[in-house]
Amino acid sequence: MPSLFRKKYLNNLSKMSFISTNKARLRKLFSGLLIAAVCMLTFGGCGKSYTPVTHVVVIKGLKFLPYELTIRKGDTVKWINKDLVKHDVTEETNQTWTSGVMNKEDVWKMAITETTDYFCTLHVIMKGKLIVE
Amino acid sequence: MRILRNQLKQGGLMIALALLSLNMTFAQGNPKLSDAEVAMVAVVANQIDVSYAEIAQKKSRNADVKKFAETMLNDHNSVLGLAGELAKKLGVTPKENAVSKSLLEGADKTKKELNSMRGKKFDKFYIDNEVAYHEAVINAVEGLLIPETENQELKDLLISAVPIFKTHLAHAKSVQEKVSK
Repeated sequence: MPSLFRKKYLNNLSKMSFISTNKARLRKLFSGLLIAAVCMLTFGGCGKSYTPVTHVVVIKGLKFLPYELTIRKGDTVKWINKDLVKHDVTEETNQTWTSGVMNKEDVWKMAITETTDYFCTLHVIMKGKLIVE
Repeated sequence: MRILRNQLKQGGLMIALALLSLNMTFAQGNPKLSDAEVAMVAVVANQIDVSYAEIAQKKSRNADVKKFAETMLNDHNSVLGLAGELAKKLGVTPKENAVSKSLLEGADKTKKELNSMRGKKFDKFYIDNEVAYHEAVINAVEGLLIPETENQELKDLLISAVPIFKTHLAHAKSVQEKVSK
Protein backbone atom coordinates (compact mmCIF):
# COMPACT_ATOMS: atom_id res chain seq x y z
CA MET A 1 0.00 0.00 0.00
CA PRO A 2 1.47 3.42 -0.97
CA SER A 3 2.65 5.24 2.18
CA LEU A 4 0.30 8.23 1.70
CA PHE A 5 -2.78 6.05 1.45
CA ARG A 6 -1.52 3.97 4.42
CA LYS A 7 -1.22 7.06 6.54
CA LYS A 8 -4.77 8.20 5.67
CA TYR A 9 -6.14 4.68 6.28
CA LEU A 10 -4.52 4.47 9.73
CA ASN A 11 -5.80 7.98 10.60
CA ASN A 12 -9.36 7.11 9.65
CA LEU A 13 -9.09 3.85 11.58
CA SER A 14 -8.01 5.66 14.74
CA LYS A 15 -10.84 8.22 14.33
CA MET A 16 -13.38 5.43 13.96
CA SER A 17 -12.13 3.66 17.06
CA PHE A 18 -12.30 7.01 18.98
CA ILE A 19 -15.88 7.43 17.86
CA SER A 20 -16.90 3.86 18.74
CA THR A 21 -15.38 4.01 22.24
CA ASN A 22 -16.92 7.41 23.01
CA LYS A 23 -20.35 6.97 21.37
CA ALA A 24 -22.41 7.67 24.50
CA ARG A 25 -20.42 10.81 25.40
CA LEU A 26 -20.60 12.08 21.84
CA ARG A 27 -24.38 11.46 21.74
CA LYS A 28 -24.86 13.51 24.91
CA LEU A 29 -22.66 16.31 23.59
CA PHE A 30 -24.58 16.44 20.29
CA SER A 31 -27.98 16.51 22.07
CA GLY A 32 -26.81 19.35 24.26
CA LEU A 33 -25.58 21.35 21.29
CA LEU A 34 -28.90 20.77 19.48
CA ILE A 35 -30.95 21.99 22.47
CA ALA A 36 -28.73 25.05 22.82
CA ALA A 37 -29.19 25.85 19.13
CA VAL A 38 -33.00 25.56 19.42
CA CYS A 39 -32.99 27.82 22.51
CA MET A 40 -30.91 30.43 20.72
CA LEU A 41 -33.21 30.42 17.73
CA THR A 42 -36.42 30.58 19.76
CA PHE A 43 -35.57 32.89 22.61
CA GLY A 44 -32.29 34.40 21.62
CA GLY A 45 -30.69 32.41 24.37
CA CYS A 46 -31.68 29.72 26.83
CA GLY A 47 -33.47 30.91 29.99
CA LYS A 48 -34.60 34.24 28.38
CA SER A 49 -38.42 34.70 28.80
CA TYR A 50 -40.84 36.94 26.86
CA THR A 51 -41.30 40.51 28.15
CA PRO A 52 -44.93 41.62 27.83
CA VAL A 53 -45.57 44.78 25.86
CA THR A 54 -48.31 47.41 25.90
CA HIS A 55 -50.72 47.88 23.01
CA VAL A 56 -52.98 50.89 22.48
CA VAL A 57 -56.65 50.99 21.45
CA VAL A 58 -58.05 54.43 20.64
CA ILE A 59 -61.74 55.08 21.20
CA LYS A 60 -62.87 57.54 18.54
CA GLY A 61 -65.92 58.10 16.33
CA LEU A 62 -67.75 55.55 18.51
CA LYS A 63 -65.36 52.81 17.48
CA PHE A 64 -62.54 50.86 19.10
CA LEU A 65 -59.51 51.34 16.87
CA PRO A 66 -58.31 48.81 15.95
CA TYR A 67 -61.44 46.69 16.26
CA GLU A 68 -59.36 43.49 16.43
CA LEU A 69 -55.97 43.26 18.14
CA THR A 70 -53.70 40.19 18.22
CA ILE A 71 -51.43 40.07 21.26
CA ARG A 72 -49.43 37.62 23.42
CA LYS A 73 -50.61 36.30 26.77
CA GLY A 74 -49.76 38.77 29.51
CA ASP A 75 -49.52 41.79 27.23
CA THR A 76 -51.20 44.95 28.45
CA VAL A 77 -53.85 46.76 26.44
CA LYS A 78 -54.34 50.47 27.07
CA TRP A 79 -57.59 52.14 25.98
CA ILE A 80 -57.65 55.92 25.48
CA ASN A 81 -60.96 57.78 25.06
CA LYS A 82 -60.41 60.33 22.31
CA ASP A 83 -64.13 60.68 21.61
CA LEU A 84 -66.58 63.51 22.32
CA VAL A 85 -68.70 61.35 24.62
CA LYS A 86 -68.23 58.94 27.56
CA HIS A 87 -67.56 55.24 26.97
CA ASP A 88 -66.59 52.17 28.87
CA VAL A 89 -64.74 48.95 28.04
CA THR A 90 -66.48 45.83 29.31
CA GLU A 91 -65.99 42.10 28.74
CA GLU A 92 -68.93 41.04 26.60
CA THR A 93 -69.93 37.48 27.57
CA ASN A 94 -70.29 37.71 31.35
CA GLN A 95 -69.12 41.29 32.01
CA THR A 96 -66.30 39.82 34.11
CA TRP A 97 -64.28 43.03 33.88
CA THR A 98 -64.99 46.68 33.09
CA SER A 99 -63.17 49.97 32.97
CA GLY A 100 -66.12 51.88 34.41
CA VAL A 101 -67.12 55.16 32.78
CA MET A 102 -64.30 56.81 30.84
CA ASN A 103 -64.55 60.53 30.19
CA LYS A 104 -62.75 62.20 27.28
CA GLU A 105 -58.95 61.68 27.55
CA ASP A 106 -59.35 59.04 30.27
CA VAL A 107 -57.00 56.06 29.99
CA TRP A 108 -57.58 52.55 31.30
CA LYS A 109 -55.33 49.52 30.98
CA MET A 110 -55.41 45.83 31.74
CA ALA A 111 -53.15 42.78 31.29
CA ILE A 112 -54.88 40.26 29.01
CA THR A 113 -54.52 36.49 29.43
CA GLU A 114 -57.15 35.07 27.06
CA THR A 115 -59.00 35.82 23.82
CA THR A 116 -61.84 38.19 24.67
CA ASP A 117 -64.73 40.04 23.05
CA TYR A 118 -65.57 43.35 24.68
CA PHE A 119 -68.01 46.23 24.15
CA CYS A 120 -69.19 49.59 25.45
CA THR A 121 -72.24 49.19 27.73
CA LEU A 122 -73.26 52.79 26.97
CA HIS A 123 -73.23 52.18 23.21
CA VAL A 124 -74.00 48.47 22.97
CA ILE A 125 -73.22 48.16 19.27
CA MET A 126 -69.63 49.35 19.86
CA LYS A 127 -67.50 46.22 19.98
CA GLY A 128 -63.89 45.09 20.00
CA LYS A 129 -61.88 41.86 20.02
CA LEU A 130 -58.60 40.80 21.61
CA ILE A 131 -56.95 37.64 20.26
CA VAL A 132 -54.29 35.99 22.40
CA GLU A 133 -51.82 34.03 20.30
CA MET B 1 -108.37 44.94 22.45
CA ARG B 2 -109.90 47.01 19.63
CA ILE B 3 -109.32 50.19 21.66
CA LEU B 4 -105.61 49.26 22.15
CA ARG B 5 -105.24 48.50 18.44
CA ASN B 6 -106.75 51.87 17.54
CA GLN B 7 -104.49 53.66 20.00
CA LEU B 8 -101.44 51.91 18.56
CA LYS B 9 -102.52 52.91 15.06
CA GLN B 10 -102.90 56.50 16.23
CA GLY B 11 -99.42 56.34 17.84
CA GLY B 12 -97.92 55.13 14.56
CA LEU B 13 -99.76 57.83 12.65
CA MET B 14 -98.45 60.46 15.07
CA ILE B 15 -94.88 59.27 14.48
CA ALA B 16 -95.33 59.29 10.72
CA LEU B 17 -96.76 62.82 10.87
CA ALA B 18 -93.95 63.95 13.19
CA LEU B 19 -91.36 62.51 10.80
CA LEU B 20 -93.00 64.15 7.81
CA SER B 21 -93.18 67.44 9.69
CA LEU B 22 -89.50 67.15 10.72
CA ASN B 23 -88.33 66.48 7.19
CA MET B 24 -90.48 69.33 5.88
CA THR B 25 -89.13 71.57 8.62
CA PHE B 26 -85.55 70.82 7.67
CA ALA B 27 -86.23 70.98 3.95
CA GLN B 28 -88.39 74.14 3.93
CA GLY B 29 -87.26 75.00 0.40
CA ASN B 30 -83.59 74.77 1.49
CA PRO B 31 -83.54 77.82 3.77
CA LYS B 32 -80.32 79.75 3.96
CA LEU B 33 -79.18 79.63 7.59
CA SER B 34 -76.51 81.78 9.17
CA ASP B 35 -73.99 80.14 11.52
CA ALA B 36 -75.93 81.56 14.48
CA GLU B 37 -79.10 79.93 13.16
CA VAL B 38 -77.31 76.63 12.46
CA ALA B 39 -76.04 76.70 16.05
CA MET B 40 -79.61 77.23 17.31
CA VAL B 41 -80.97 74.33 15.25
CA ALA B 42 -78.16 72.07 16.53
CA VAL B 43 -78.82 73.12 20.15
CA VAL B 44 -82.59 72.65 19.86
CA ALA B 45 -82.27 69.25 18.14
CA ASN B 46 -80.07 68.01 21.01
CA GLN B 47 -82.26 69.55 23.72
CA ILE B 48 -85.34 67.87 22.28
CA ASP B 49 -83.78 64.41 22.54
CA VAL B 50 -82.64 65.15 26.08
CA SER B 51 -86.24 66.03 27.01
CA TYR B 52 -87.57 62.80 25.42
CA ALA B 53 -84.95 60.81 27.34
CA GLU B 54 -85.92 62.46 30.63
CA ILE B 55 -89.52 61.37 30.12
CA ALA B 56 -88.39 57.83 29.23
CA GLN B 57 -86.16 57.60 32.31
CA LYS B 58 -89.16 58.47 34.51
CA LYS B 59 -91.84 56.41 32.76
CA SER B 60 -90.26 53.31 31.27
CA ARG B 61 -89.89 50.06 33.23
CA ASN B 62 -88.00 48.35 30.40
CA ALA B 63 -84.26 47.96 31.17
CA ASP B 64 -83.16 48.30 27.52
CA VAL B 65 -85.28 51.43 26.99
CA LYS B 66 -83.99 53.00 30.23
CA LYS B 67 -80.36 52.21 29.32
CA PHE B 68 -80.87 53.71 25.87
CA ALA B 69 -82.46 56.83 27.39
CA GLU B 70 -79.49 57.17 29.78
CA THR B 71 -77.12 57.11 26.80
CA MET B 72 -79.23 59.75 25.03
CA LEU B 73 -79.06 61.98 28.13
CA ASN B 74 -75.28 61.58 28.47
CA ASP B 75 -74.40 61.97 24.81
CA HIS B 76 -76.74 64.80 23.81
CA ASN B 77 -75.78 66.74 26.95
CA SER B 78 -72.09 66.24 26.00
CA VAL B 79 -72.74 67.60 22.50
CA LEU B 80 -74.72 70.52 23.98
CA GLY B 81 -71.83 71.30 26.28
CA LEU B 82 -69.35 71.31 23.41
CA ALA B 83 -71.68 73.43 21.26
CA GLY B 84 -72.04 75.92 24.11
CA GLU B 85 -68.25 76.16 24.63
CA LEU B 86 -67.68 76.66 20.92
CA ALA B 87 -70.38 79.30 20.60
CA LYS B 88 -68.78 81.18 23.50
CA LYS B 89 -65.32 80.89 21.96
CA LEU B 90 -66.55 82.13 18.58
CA GLY B 91 -68.70 84.85 20.13
CA VAL B 92 -71.76 83.42 18.36
CA THR B 93 -75.16 83.69 20.02
CA PRO B 94 -77.51 80.96 18.72
CA LYS B 95 -80.37 82.65 16.87
CA GLU B 96 -83.96 81.46 16.82
CA ASN B 97 -85.32 80.81 13.35
CA ALA B 98 -88.20 79.13 11.52
CA VAL B 99 -86.50 75.73 11.57
CA SER B 100 -85.73 75.76 15.29
CA LYS B 101 -89.27 77.00 16.10
CA SER B 102 -90.83 74.29 14.00
CA LEU B 103 -88.69 71.64 15.74
CA LEU B 104 -89.85 72.85 19.14
CA GLU B 105 -93.51 72.86 18.08
CA GLY B 106 -93.23 69.28 16.84
CA ALA B 107 -91.45 68.26 20.02
CA ASP B 108 -94.22 69.71 22.20
CA LYS B 109 -96.78 67.52 20.45
CA THR B 110 -94.58 64.42 20.79
CA LYS B 111 -94.00 65.09 24.49
CA LYS B 112 -97.75 65.35 25.05
CA GLU B 113 -98.14 61.93 23.39
CA LEU B 114 -95.31 60.45 25.46
CA ASN B 115 -96.78 61.79 28.69
CA SER B 116 -100.21 60.33 27.87
CA MET B 117 -98.90 56.78 27.46
CA ARG B 118 -97.47 54.14 29.77
CA GLY B 119 -96.15 50.57 29.86
CA LYS B 120 -95.37 48.76 26.60
CA LYS B 121 -97.31 51.31 24.58
CA PHE B 122 -95.04 54.05 25.92
CA ASP B 123 -91.86 52.02 25.27
CA LYS B 124 -92.89 51.29 21.68
CA PHE B 125 -93.89 54.89 20.95
CA TYR B 126 -90.70 56.28 22.53
CA ILE B 127 -88.30 53.98 20.69
CA ASP B 128 -90.16 54.23 17.36
CA ASN B 129 -89.98 58.00 17.69
CA GLU B 130 -86.25 57.81 18.52
CA VAL B 131 -85.58 55.83 15.34
CA ALA B 132 -87.57 58.30 13.23
CA TYR B 133 -86.09 61.33 15.00
CA HIS B 134 -82.47 60.24 14.61
CA GLU B 135 -83.01 59.40 10.94
CA ALA B 136 -84.43 62.89 10.38
CA VAL B 137 -81.65 64.60 12.40
CA ILE B 138 -78.88 62.73 10.54
CA ASN B 139 -80.41 63.72 7.19
CA ALA B 140 -80.72 67.31 8.34
CA VAL B 141 -77.19 67.59 9.74
CA GLU B 142 -75.60 66.01 6.67
CA GLY B 143 -77.92 67.56 4.08
CA LEU B 144 -78.56 71.02 5.50
CA LEU B 145 -76.59 72.11 8.57
CA ILE B 146 -73.07 71.02 7.52
CA PRO B 147 -73.33 72.45 3.98
CA GLU B 148 -74.85 75.70 5.32
CA THR B 149 -72.15 76.27 7.97
CA GLU B 150 -69.39 78.72 7.13
CA ASN B 151 -67.26 78.56 10.28
CA GLN B 152 -64.90 75.56 10.05
CA GLU B 153 -64.87 74.79 13.80
CA LEU B 154 -68.66 74.68 13.93
CA LYS B 155 -68.68 72.55 10.78
CA ASP B 156 -66.11 70.18 12.36
CA LEU B 157 -68.24 69.82 15.48
CA LEU B 158 -71.29 68.93 13.39
CA ILE B 159 -69.23 66.44 11.35
CA SER B 160 -67.96 64.85 14.61
CA ALA B 161 -71.52 64.56 15.89
CA VAL B 162 -72.75 62.52 12.92
CA PRO B 163 -71.14 59.18 14.04
CA ILE B 164 -72.73 59.72 17.47
CA PHE B 165 -76.19 60.12 15.94
CA LYS B 166 -75.66 57.15 13.62
CA THR B 167 -74.65 54.96 16.58
CA HIS B 168 -77.74 56.18 18.43
CA LEU B 169 -79.86 55.19 15.44
CA ALA B 170 -78.34 51.68 15.34
CA HIS B 171 -78.81 51.35 19.11
CA ALA B 172 -82.43 52.55 18.85
CA LYS B 173 -83.13 49.98 16.14
CA SER B 174 -81.74 47.17 18.28
CA VAL B 175 -83.94 48.23 21.20
CA GLN B 176 -86.91 48.65 18.82
CA GLU B 177 -86.48 45.00 17.76
CA LYS B 178 -86.53 43.82 21.38
CA VAL B 179 -89.50 46.00 22.35
CA SER B 180 -91.65 44.77 19.46
CA LYS B 181 -91.32 41.11 20.57
